[in-house]
Amino acid sequence: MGLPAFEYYCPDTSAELERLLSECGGQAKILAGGTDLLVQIKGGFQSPAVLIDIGNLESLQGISHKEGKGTEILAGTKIAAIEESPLIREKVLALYQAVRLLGSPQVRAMATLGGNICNASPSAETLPALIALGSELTVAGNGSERNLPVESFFLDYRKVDLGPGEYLKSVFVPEQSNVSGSAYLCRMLRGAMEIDIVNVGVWFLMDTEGRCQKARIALGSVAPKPFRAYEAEAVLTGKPLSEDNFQQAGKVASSESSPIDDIRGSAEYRRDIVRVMVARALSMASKSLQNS
Amino acid sequence: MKEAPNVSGFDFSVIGKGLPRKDAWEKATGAAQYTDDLKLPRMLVGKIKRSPHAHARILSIDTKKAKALPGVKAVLVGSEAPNLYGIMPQTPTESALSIDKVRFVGEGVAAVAAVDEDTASEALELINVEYEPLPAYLTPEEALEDGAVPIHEDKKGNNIIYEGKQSFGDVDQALSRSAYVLEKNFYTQCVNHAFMEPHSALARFDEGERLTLWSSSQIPHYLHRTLSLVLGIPMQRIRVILPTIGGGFGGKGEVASNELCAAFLARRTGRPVKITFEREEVFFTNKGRHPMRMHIKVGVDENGILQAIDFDTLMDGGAYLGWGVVVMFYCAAMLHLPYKVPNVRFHGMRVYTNKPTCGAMRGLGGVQPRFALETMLDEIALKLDMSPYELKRKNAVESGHTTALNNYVRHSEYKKCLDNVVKRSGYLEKRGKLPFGKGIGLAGAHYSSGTSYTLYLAYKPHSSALIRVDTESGVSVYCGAADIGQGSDMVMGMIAAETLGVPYSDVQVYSGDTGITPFDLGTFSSRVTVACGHAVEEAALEINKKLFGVAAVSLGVQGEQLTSQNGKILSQFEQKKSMDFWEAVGKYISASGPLTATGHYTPPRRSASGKVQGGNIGHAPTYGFTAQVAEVEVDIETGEVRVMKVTESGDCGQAINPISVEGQVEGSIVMGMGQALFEEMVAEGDRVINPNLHEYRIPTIADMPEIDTEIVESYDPESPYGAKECGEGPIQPVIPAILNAIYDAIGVRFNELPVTPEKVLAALHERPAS
Amino acid sequence: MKQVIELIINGEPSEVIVRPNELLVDVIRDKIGLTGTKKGCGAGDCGACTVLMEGKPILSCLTLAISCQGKHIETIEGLAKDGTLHPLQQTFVKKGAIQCGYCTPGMILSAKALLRKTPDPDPEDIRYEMAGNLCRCTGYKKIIEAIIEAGQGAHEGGPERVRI
Repeated sequence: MGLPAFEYYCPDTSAELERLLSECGGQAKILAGGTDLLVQIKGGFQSPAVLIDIGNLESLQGISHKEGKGTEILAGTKIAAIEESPLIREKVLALYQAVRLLGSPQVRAMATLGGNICNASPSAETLPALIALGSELTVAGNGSERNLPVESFFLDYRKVDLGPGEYLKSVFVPEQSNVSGSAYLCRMLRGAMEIDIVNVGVWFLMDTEGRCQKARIALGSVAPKPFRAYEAEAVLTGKPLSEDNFQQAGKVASSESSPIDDIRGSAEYRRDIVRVMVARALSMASKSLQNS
Repeated sequence: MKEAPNVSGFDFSVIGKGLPRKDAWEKATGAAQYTDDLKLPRMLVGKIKRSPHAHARILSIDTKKAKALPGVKAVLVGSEAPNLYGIMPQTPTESALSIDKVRFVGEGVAAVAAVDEDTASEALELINVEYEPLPAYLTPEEALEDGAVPIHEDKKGNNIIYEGKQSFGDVDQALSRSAYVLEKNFYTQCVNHAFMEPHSALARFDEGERLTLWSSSQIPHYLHRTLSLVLGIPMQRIRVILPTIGGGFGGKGEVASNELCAAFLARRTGRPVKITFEREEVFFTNKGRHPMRMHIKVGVDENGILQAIDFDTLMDGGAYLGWGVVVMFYCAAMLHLPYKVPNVRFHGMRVYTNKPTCGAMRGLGGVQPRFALETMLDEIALKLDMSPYELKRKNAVESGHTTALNNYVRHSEYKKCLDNVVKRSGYLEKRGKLPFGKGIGLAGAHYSSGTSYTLYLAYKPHSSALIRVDTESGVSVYCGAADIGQGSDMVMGMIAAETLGVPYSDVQVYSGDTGITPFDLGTFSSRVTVACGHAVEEAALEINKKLFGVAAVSLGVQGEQLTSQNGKILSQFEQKKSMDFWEAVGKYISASGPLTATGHYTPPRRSASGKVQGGNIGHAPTYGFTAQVAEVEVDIETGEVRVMKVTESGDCGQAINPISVEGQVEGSIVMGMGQALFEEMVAEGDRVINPNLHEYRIPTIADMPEIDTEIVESYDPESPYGAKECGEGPIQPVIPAILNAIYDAIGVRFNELPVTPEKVLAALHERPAS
Repeated sequence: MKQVIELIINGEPSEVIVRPNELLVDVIRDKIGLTGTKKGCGAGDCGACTVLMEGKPILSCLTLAISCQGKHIETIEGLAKDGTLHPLQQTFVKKGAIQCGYCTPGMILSAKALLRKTPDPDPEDIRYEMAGNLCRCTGYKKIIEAIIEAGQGAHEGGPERVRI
């Protein structure tokens, strides 16, 4: 299965990347790991005239941490690098849990965090985790930068808020306090290499009485784009972190989702699973809190 | 080194040893050459244009633009290759490319040969086909509706390919007298072999219209014959060579369009042409397991003794005939074993639909009814307040049993399999006693080791072998068997080595080349170890006879008293009277010329007072048996089923190589688990919507259960070194063992495959609160 | 827009001319001539085309050759050294982890990457790190056994070396 012809550029600097992006206008696609994009091109779902490979851009790779502030992951960082980073495991547990369940070892070695975000598959593993953790994105291009919460980056099915000449530069995950818990869970039809049926990221902050002060519940695969289940979050807010409340939040999250029937499962089944997985993820997050 | 149990009393030096396979070395280093790895000078790349319609008349095909594209060397359309073929030669339905009509999305309509793949792909785009769409039928029920357009117009106005009926004994009476009758409906899905190597064929025409075809096939002989028929050239001018084959499981057990198109295009261009399928094309070519609707009644007496099976099935055949009728009658025959059933009735109907054709897949004809029957017997046993083990053991066949179908089971250790697996797994201690959500299930099965029928009327031996021994090349075994990855070359080499009394390393096996290896029907029906093994053993015995003549004179002993062992020919009574094997070989050749011998085998045909023999599929010389226990955990909130462990006990006769036997069993278990839980070719709208390995889910390493297999002590004295099949029996009990375990876990019986989490959860919701 | 690139395959530099849309798997097989790397699906679903790039397992069917300029790539042909099989090749042969062999090159390369990361893996490590390589013949059991034994060998100074 060959690929159609395209022009190919492989910039060495961010400046060159910005120049290429502005010159090519909407003709260009950024090639990161290629595990989604090349499959799309092979299948004829996309046919960009230009590919800009960011594989050589060291300025787009790396993970750094500022004590008390948070963790920055540059968009070109490989999923495997995130998985293997002790920093991520310690500071951004839900993201670690999510990347462990992404594709296969080969896919993780190739794919990048930015690619997973910009490809904007509704079932992308990292998105519910990042949303739940309250992450922010930095979008660069045309000589400037802007920041936005990760959930507002997704406009519609596989559509993201990137204007002409813009690219995703980095992801910032704010520091988690020691009274916050988070977790990522998903349901797959087999043990690996799956498009998930449902994926869930949860986060909450506990107040001094052991109640939930604030919560974020993010869902994937059950709507055209990943989203926050605000009503389910509201169920938890101000309440004790109990199994009953987790179950209740799951129920509400389920009613907030709008899945479709497809080859992997019916809408009805997905709604059921949202309920279960949200409750389980909350329980898992609460246990991680108790253990820490 | 692993050793197989040996009850024969013979002291084997090669048989029963877990030797590493010779081909493994080249496979481990990347040196093995599969068909797509071959390259010939001036070779062209061929590609096939495929139909976007499930059912349509072809009004016109315009190839002008494609032919004009620089780099395109030839374009072929169906009408230029009009001879029909089929694996069942009496009723050919298929053609190299569709002629006049397409019958499923993905059917080939034209083929091109070009200088490279990109040019070939571009040429396909330039071929313009005009279609007149016809109504498409994706299920047999739709295809059978009144007024449905016949998918094959030569048929008698409907879409029934074949209706098969068999009745043995008086089923109605037996059922009416049964103490308990269970009646149920079942459905099995379409599954694909999903071998890892996509089909590939490379054709070259030489001077004098001589064709050489390298192909990834399990049936070099039928391919050879079909090439002759379709191309219209005598078989004598065709040579089929099998390079290393990357798996088949039945899916390479029919001629595929790439083989024929490559040959046509090579003839037309005078250049070698290779056509390798994309994975999507493998799914279009399919020939996988038939979806079957089954309506079954099973009657037992008050002690659980089987009285009758009444079996009715509707088979979804897809667009062409393929192995279909054979699969139907295999299914009919499978009802008669591994239990004693005095009365059996079969009614089957195979129907055309507008989908890729179904055919032969590992355990053909058996997997669907075995799933149904083993779960029914489980249910019946529990109704009778009996352990399913006890019920199955009571009814299990023993050596010497003759079925109602007049199939003679000359050797069975099925009871031993049941006893062994139940003991090792702790089945009796666990069943019915595990916490809700955890369960254990038992199932058993058999499979035939070949059959006495051929696909076309022929009286020649089914397998033949030639052995040449000389002091330069050692022992060379030539046989036509197709090693598709299962390791038949090793089995043949070990049989030759044992018989000749030489180390396995001295034997070289040449197989799967119609130009140099003697005739063999091919790799299907689990026939190779018994059939080709017999031929090799016979040839090796003949070599011994010749050498014993030389040694007898040298040693001054009678030839009949000699034996071959450990590289020596020696007297059975006085071991010091011995001579070196190779010295005897040298003397024989000096005195009498080349040392060669042939052997051959045809399975016995049986007759008994006018009864049908084996009910249209012929008599199987012998049968393998297996029993399995599956343990599962069901996530009762999500419906996810995890198979935690499968314990297996197998009767494959004497294992020639126990490591290879285990490999067959382990592979079967994971493949069967895939069909039970994950796999399905899903048809929607007018097409299969998951022709890829992403949405067609075969199990990954992360899904595999713990597997514990054991080869029970067994020896079929009439088989070569006591061996029987092990490649198709072990897939039979996997599905029912898992489903019986799910029942034990959550109290729900599933009658439709695959058992997805969604179905499990729905069933749990419907379950009355207890 | 063809371009000359240099690939360092199994330690040996090779210059090849590639178009931007050429895939690494095709370049390795057709231009370098190393056909041990297999194509099973063309879509990253089966892992048969796995090679190691800078020591990491990647899918060569989803990698543009042009993006591999100057990269170190290891294929199955690079594992045996000086006529001696790599320990993984030895244990795959010995344990019966190879049937049809089509998945074997990718499987062994993934296993090599796994052993580099986790020299003495347990079955759970193997289930996780080998999940990108499909096998239809073996049921995976003997593959797990072969990897475990090769890992133990690495500890104990390697299994007995076999001369080719």
